[in-house]
Order: sequence, then structure tokens, then C-alpha cells
Amino acid sequence: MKCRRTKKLLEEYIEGNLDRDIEKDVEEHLRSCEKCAAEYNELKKYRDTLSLMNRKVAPPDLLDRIHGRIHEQEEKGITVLARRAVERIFLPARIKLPVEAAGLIAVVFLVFVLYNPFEEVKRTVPREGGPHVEDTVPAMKTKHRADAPLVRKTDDRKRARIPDEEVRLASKVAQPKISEKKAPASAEVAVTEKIARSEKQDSKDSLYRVVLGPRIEDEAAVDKYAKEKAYSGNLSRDADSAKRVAPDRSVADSGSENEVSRIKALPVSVNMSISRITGDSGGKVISRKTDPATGITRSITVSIPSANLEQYMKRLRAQWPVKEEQLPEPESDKGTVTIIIILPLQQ
Amino acid sequence: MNREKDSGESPHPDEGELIRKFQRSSSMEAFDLLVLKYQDMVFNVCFRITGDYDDASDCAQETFIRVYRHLASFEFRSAFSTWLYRIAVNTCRNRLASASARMGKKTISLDRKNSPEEGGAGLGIANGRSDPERLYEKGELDRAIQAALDKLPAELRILAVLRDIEGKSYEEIAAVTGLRQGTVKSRISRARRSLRQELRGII
Repeated sequence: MKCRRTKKLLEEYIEGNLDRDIEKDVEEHLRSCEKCAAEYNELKKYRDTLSLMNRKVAPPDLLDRIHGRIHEQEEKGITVLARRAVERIFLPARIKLPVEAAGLIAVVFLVFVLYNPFEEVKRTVPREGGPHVEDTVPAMKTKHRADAPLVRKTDDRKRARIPDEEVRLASKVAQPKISEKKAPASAEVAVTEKIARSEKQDSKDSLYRVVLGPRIEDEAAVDKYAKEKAYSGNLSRDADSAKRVAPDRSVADSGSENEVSRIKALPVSVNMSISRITGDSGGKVISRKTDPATGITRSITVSIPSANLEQYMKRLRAQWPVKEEQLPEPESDKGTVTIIIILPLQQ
Repeated sequence: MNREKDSGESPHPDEGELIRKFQRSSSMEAFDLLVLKYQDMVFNVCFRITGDYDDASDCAQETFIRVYRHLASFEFRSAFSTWLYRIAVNTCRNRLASASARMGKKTISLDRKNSPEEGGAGLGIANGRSDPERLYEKGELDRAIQAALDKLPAELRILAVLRDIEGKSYEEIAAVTGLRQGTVKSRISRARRSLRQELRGII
């Protein structure tokens, strides 16, 4: 074995990784070659020295430091996680905040401005006592009652412009056969007012108002009627009480079992009672206005001959306390009088 | 001799149980026992690679902190010591690569270059740091060897430390470093030549 090859194999020889034959060859060469032997000795010394180097001992507080750093990093980790979470929430917000804030402020401002007045209206209107119908009734009240003369004068020109169709409709409505066909309540009111106005223009009729209060003797009337019904089995048309509470034959002729309950459905009674009284007085029901929410008739517009007005009002007063009334002067006995009868809320 | 060392550092039979205990319940006690068992080994490797006591301390701490973080996912595919060496070596490599370590090394290198010739006066306090090794009588040779190691490129130094100081097999070094065994052998041979050159006249 030559020196070059021996030098290459020296490390493996020291580590004991060579085959036995090669190992022998190396050993033989080392015995004969001083240079290679010196190389071997140097390498062996190097290996021994390094392997026998003092082993460093860990600092005695290494474990404590590890614990400290783990604890610190866990806290830091939590803090970092929390900070990242906060940043994730607020960093985008920080960018968008001015725009969003401006938008939010604008929306809040708009809501405040727009809804506040409405809230005031909402608060005041119910105090006056009605949902849909009452919203319009007080307005009509002031228009026709308190400001009636002024309004009439100022509105004369406008009223004069009402189209002929409406006048014709009004005259049609004033015919004996009144169409009971239901139309939207607001439309009815509008038509009623127009009718009244046009009639006032054409004839010397006026639109007047009567506000009825709750009928006190309803229960008594119902009881009385029920008793009469039990005895006679027929509706006595002559009796005033019967007229009040059971004006409609269809109602009266229905089964006796549910008759009392039908009679007790006083909204129908009031409605029909007025129809009957109106008919008896030679007048006509022009229109009815029904609360769409409850289905209760809130007002009835009737046309009564002026001559029978006093009698008509007498019969009305006999059944309902008349809270307010705005009627023509007694001397005008010619023509007809159009009256809006505002029915009581609790009928 | 290296083999004797290996057998002396071989894992205790309860090592796997300690790991499993930690994996089961994050037992700090199990972790502490593992630290106490391997802390000198890890610190020695770190010291020989970094060449600095404080850096070695920091690297050893960092190594065990990484072990603490990742032990739950240890799957026993390699020996725990191999895994631990790998973490320690990578930690030291990162530290050496950092700017602060490079600055620190300059100071050490300048100081230690002259130290063997100057009889070791002032050695080990190059950075003004305490070095208990200074107190040992035979510390001079040790510091000479360390100075020679410090002159090696980091990758060669790591291999030399693992092979010639820690006495690890080529196979294990390959597993620790991720290099092929042939590469490990050739690089170790190169590192030895360099070291012997540096240590000629001292050893």
C-alpha cells in the first residue's frame, strides 16, 4: 500500500470502519513508513483531544430561564394574539372609519330629522281619538265648523270648477235608488264633499255635520227588542225600539238562536237605524265611510228634505246623544240638507 | 472512545415515556426531566458551535423552548436525541447568521486569534462576558481548539463538532443536518484538515 492511499484510509482506520484485510495493509504500511505513521499519530491525537475536550456544563439556571422564557412568550403570545385580533377588527375599521362614520352620522341625522316630526304627529294624532278615520274627521271638523264661512267663501272658485260629471254623479246619488256599492272610504269622503259642494252650488243646500255620542240605552233597547221578539216572533216595525235595534229584515228574520247576538252587533244597528230613520224622514243615505281597519261605519252622509230636518234630528236625538251639530237655520224649508253624521266610536 | 461516550449519552429507558406523558398532558414535570437530562449535551453543542457562553446559553434555552412548543407533534420517527440535535444545530445556525452574532463573533475572533500565543491572558472575556471555563487549569487547550473551530465556516464547524466532539455517527449527522452521508464525510474531512492545520504545534 502506498502513502497516498494509506493517508486516505487513515480516518476510516482510526474509526475502525475498514475491512480486516485493508486494516492489516494499513497497519503494515504504517510500520514501514515514518511519514504516514507521523500523520497517523497526529490525526489520532487530534481525534483524542477533541473527543476528550471538556464538556461544557449547562448553566445551573438554564431550566429556570427556559421556564421564564416560555411563560414570557406565552404571555407575549397571548398579547400578540390579542393585539392581532384587535388589529384585525379595528385596522380595517381605522381605514374605513372616516367614510363609515360620515355615512353613519348622515344616516343618523336623516333618521332624526325625518322621523322626529313623524313621531310627534304619531303622538298627537291618537290623542284625538281615532286611527284612520279620526285623522280626517278633525280636519273636516275645523274646515266645516270653525272656519266654515271663510272656507266656503275662499273655496267658491274652486268649487265652481268641479267637473260636470261629478255634479251629475251627485245628482245621481241624490236619486231615490242609492247605490250601496262599496267604494274606498277616502274616495267616498271625497265624493261626499264634492257632492255637498256641488249641491250647494246648484241648489241652496248645504253640507252640515252631526256628531253622535255613544248610545246609552243600547242595552235596554236590545233587551226590550229581545223580549218583544220572544213574545211576538215578529219584528214590530211600529215600535221605536225595534227601529233602533233591528231595522233590517234579513237580520230580524234570521234564526232566533243567534238573533240576540246579531242585535248586539250594534255597529250594524246604528248603521241600519240611521238608514231607517233617514228613509222614514224622506231622505236618502248618500254614502257611508267605513274604517278599513275595523270595518265599523264611521260616518254616514245623508240627504234630508229641509222640511223634515227637525223631525229627523228629533229622532236621532232620541237614540244618540248629539255631541255637536251644525245645521241650517230653521227658516230654510226648501230643498234638501246634506248632513255628515259622525257615528260614535263605541257603537 | 466516542462509542463509549455514545453509550454514556444513550437515552434513558423512560425517555419515551416522558415524551408521551408530555404529549398526553403537557406535563411540565416530564418536560423538565427531559431538559435536565439533555441540557448539558445541548449546551455543549451550542457552545462549540457558537463559541460563546452566553450565546450558547441563549441557544440552549431557545432549543428547549422549541422542543416545548413542538414536542406534542414529535412522532418518534427518529431518536429524540437526533431530533434535539437538529433543533439545537438549527438554532445555532440561525444565531450565527444573525447580524448581532456576526458582530459578536468579530470581537471574539480578534481576541482569540491572539490568545493562544499570548498565554491566554484575557481570554474568554473578549466580550466582557463571564466565562467559567477560564477557571479551569486545562482551559487553555480547550480555548485553542475552540478558536480553531471558530475559524471554520459554520457548516464545517457544525459537522466537526457533531463528529469529533459529540462523537455522532455519519448516519446520525446526516439525519441531523439533512446532508448525505458522503457529503458529511467529505466535509468532515475538510474540517479536520483545517483544524489540524490550526492546531499544529498545539496538540
